[in-house]
Amino acid sequence: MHRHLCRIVVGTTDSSLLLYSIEEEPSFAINLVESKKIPSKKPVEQLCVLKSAGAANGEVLDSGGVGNLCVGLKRKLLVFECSGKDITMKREIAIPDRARTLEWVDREKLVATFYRGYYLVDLAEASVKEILTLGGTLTSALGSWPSLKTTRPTVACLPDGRLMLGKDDHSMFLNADGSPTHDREFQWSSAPEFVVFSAPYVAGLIGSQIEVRSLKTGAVVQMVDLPQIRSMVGSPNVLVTSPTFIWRLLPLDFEDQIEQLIASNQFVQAQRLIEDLEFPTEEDKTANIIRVRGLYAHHIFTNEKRYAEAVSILQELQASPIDVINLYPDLAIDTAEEESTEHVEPSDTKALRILMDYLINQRVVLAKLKQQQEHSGSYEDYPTVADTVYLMEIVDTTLLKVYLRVNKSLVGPLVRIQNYCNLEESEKVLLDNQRYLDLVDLYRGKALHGKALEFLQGRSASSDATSEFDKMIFYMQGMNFDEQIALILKYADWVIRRDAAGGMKVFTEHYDEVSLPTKRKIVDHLEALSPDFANTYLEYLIWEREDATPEMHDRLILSYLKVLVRDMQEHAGYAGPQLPKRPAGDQQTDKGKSFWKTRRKLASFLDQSKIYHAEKVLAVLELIPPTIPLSDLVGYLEKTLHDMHRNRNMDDVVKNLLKAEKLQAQGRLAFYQSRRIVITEERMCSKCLKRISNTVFTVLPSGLVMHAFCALKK
Amino acid sequence: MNQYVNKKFSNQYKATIGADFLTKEVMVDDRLVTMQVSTPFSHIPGHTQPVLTTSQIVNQIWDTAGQERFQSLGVAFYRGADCCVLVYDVNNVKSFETLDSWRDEFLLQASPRDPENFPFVVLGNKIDMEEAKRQVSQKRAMTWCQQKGNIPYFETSAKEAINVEQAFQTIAKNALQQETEVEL
Repeated sequence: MHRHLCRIVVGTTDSSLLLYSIEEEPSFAINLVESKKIPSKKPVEQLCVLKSAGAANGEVLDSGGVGNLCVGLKRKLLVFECSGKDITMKREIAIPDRARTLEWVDREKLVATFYRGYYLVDLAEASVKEILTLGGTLTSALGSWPSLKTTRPTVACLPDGRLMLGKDDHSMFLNADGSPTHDREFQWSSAPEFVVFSAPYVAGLIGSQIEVRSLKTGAVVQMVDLPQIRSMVGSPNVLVTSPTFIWRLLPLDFEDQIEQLIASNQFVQAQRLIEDLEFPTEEDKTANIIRVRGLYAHHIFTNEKRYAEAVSILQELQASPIDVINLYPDLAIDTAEEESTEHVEPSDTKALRILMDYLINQRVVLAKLKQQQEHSGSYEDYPTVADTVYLMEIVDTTLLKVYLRVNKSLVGPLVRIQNYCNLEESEKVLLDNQRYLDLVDLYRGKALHGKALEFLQGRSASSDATSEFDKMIFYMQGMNFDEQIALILKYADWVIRRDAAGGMKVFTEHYDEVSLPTKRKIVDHLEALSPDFANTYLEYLIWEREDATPEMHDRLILSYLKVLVRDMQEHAGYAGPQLPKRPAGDQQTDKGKSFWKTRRKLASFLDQSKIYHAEKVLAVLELIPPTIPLSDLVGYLEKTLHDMHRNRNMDDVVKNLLKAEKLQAQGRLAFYQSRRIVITEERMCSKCLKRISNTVFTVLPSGLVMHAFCALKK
Repeated sequence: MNQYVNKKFSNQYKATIGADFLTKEVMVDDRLVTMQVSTPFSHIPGHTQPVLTTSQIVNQIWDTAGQERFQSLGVAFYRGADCCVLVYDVNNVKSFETLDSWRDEFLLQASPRDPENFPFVVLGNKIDMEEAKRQVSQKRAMTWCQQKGNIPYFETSAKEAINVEQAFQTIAKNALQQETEVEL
């Protein structure tokens, strides 16, 4: 039997050729078209049809196209030319032995097999050349080989021009001209009788079984069992004959084959199949391989717990971090809307550690990518900066979740450095895990100071609070005072009321420079709470920060005075506010101590500071209740009075000096005004020696008189 | 780094590309430790130079110079570090303020098992400059170190060899301790 496109030629034992047509569409049908008697009395043992050169549609024998038919008869080959319905014998070539198989290589060449080996028959040159000895090499190596005689030689022409020649239970590859290739031998389970190629597989008929193997890898793909099969032909579909039947073997759709392999977790085989197949574009092929590799990674991750390997496969494929994260059902990114209610098993810690390392690496990769994208400055690039930031958000948020499960202590560093954690998700998981301080750091990183402080206040007040209050103070210390002063003051009241000493650290352990308006606001605010707080802050400013603005020095003095006034009023007797008693030993009340302590501070500050405005400070004297004897304020008044005296005396001196200067000026004016000169008829100009008469004249200090004109002329 | 290994301060920072290995032996608790110092990245004079030490077979000190380069060195570089030395310039308040993020960034990259007890050492360097130039007080630095779990703090001058020996003794000691703990 030989098959050519939609025709099958069957050689019969009574030297007839039967031609059948095959119809694939609409349904498979096979019909006897004609039978031809060949001019020979011998049974046809081998035949082979060559594709006609001019018959692209494949109508070889009855279309007017030209095809060649080769028939093996005993020790000769008969070559016929088929043109239309006429078959004419073209050539007869003598061969050394009875041909066991015939196979066309191209229009002018065919491979004939004899018991002793494979021969390349060149029709044009009428030459017969041995290309592979059967038995020869094997016999010499292994002695006699009985199966050689009984095993049918097989020839398969591969589309790349190579010949695949069967030699016992393996097949050798040769080039079309018979020269050896360096490909390795192809091993069968047993010696096949027929070998046909059906891309990307090779099928071998072994006994009554068809063994389908991948040409590339040699791996068995399928075994097909059919009763009593005798022969097999290929291209495009494989046909198999028994004495009474012809079967057609249809390959499954390759996509189905791939899916089937995937479904049975044979990912490596699926990948090989894709590698063997032709795809419309190289990209399609790559995309398919990536898909299978990805599924393979999922498989070994989920079913074989080969976590590191799975992640590294995905990394090699440059999979999106989302794909890697989706390996972990409990961390998977919900892109679909569907709400999964089923219980998800928490991931293995070992697996999570691998994800952790992966994500830290991805942070670096994405940060570099973002930098590049921003640097290139083109907004049309794909992926865009926004895409990158979206991935960064997913990576950071997932990393946060992983840390919460694997190593909680690393949550802090993550939320403190620059990160892209999604706020709502992170908020939720941090609260669920009671990572309150980390949540606050996250807020700080996102400049959500109001939220942070409100949360800290709420936490500090709760019954299970730990270090939240200290954190709140520390948080406020670290804020930008000039920008956030309103917010700081809003929460400062609560903090200071709760713990005055600790709360004041918000202001007194702040290390950045603060502008004067901000300082003013702080002092105003603290003073309204209590002058004591204002004192503490101002003392810190002046002594620790070496603040040299007169205003702040004034404020400190005034603030001290306010404390004194307040303390006195608290000691009010029947006659009005009075001085507390001076401290004597330990029996003194706190208020009394505070008063005298403040008084001492005030006195010493008035001595030390050189830059306060005394007159502004004095104006405050009105504040002092009238019932307080002035003698009790003598230290303070002395200093201020002294300053006032000094200023008054200085002014007096200046005033008198100016007065004297004025008198002198008036004297000089009177002197000059008191001089007079008599202009007579004889009075001459001392310059031009003409009469002055009625003209304008000038008197020089020396007493000389001249025309004003002459004086100007010089 | 130069000062520690060779006891000679070089005013001229050498711009290094590739690894530059120097070794120095330190006695820690009667045990001789070889510290290997490498400066694999080019120096930017005047910048903060956080230093990382690892002590696997010999003590290796990695001197990472640049700022944003730190992150880009990647996980592999930091894994197995036994101690991290953070150096800032007492005359440059910015260099002090970035210590926080250096520390956090290091912890993320190195991912030690017990980040809260990972040994750090802080060096306030360049104390040889005049007092008026100083921007970070000892009190402020020590408060920070205390808050971060009592990190040992040294004020050093690489130029005048002040405290350098003591600081590196501590580094070697902490690194050895960490190594022992990991081995246990």
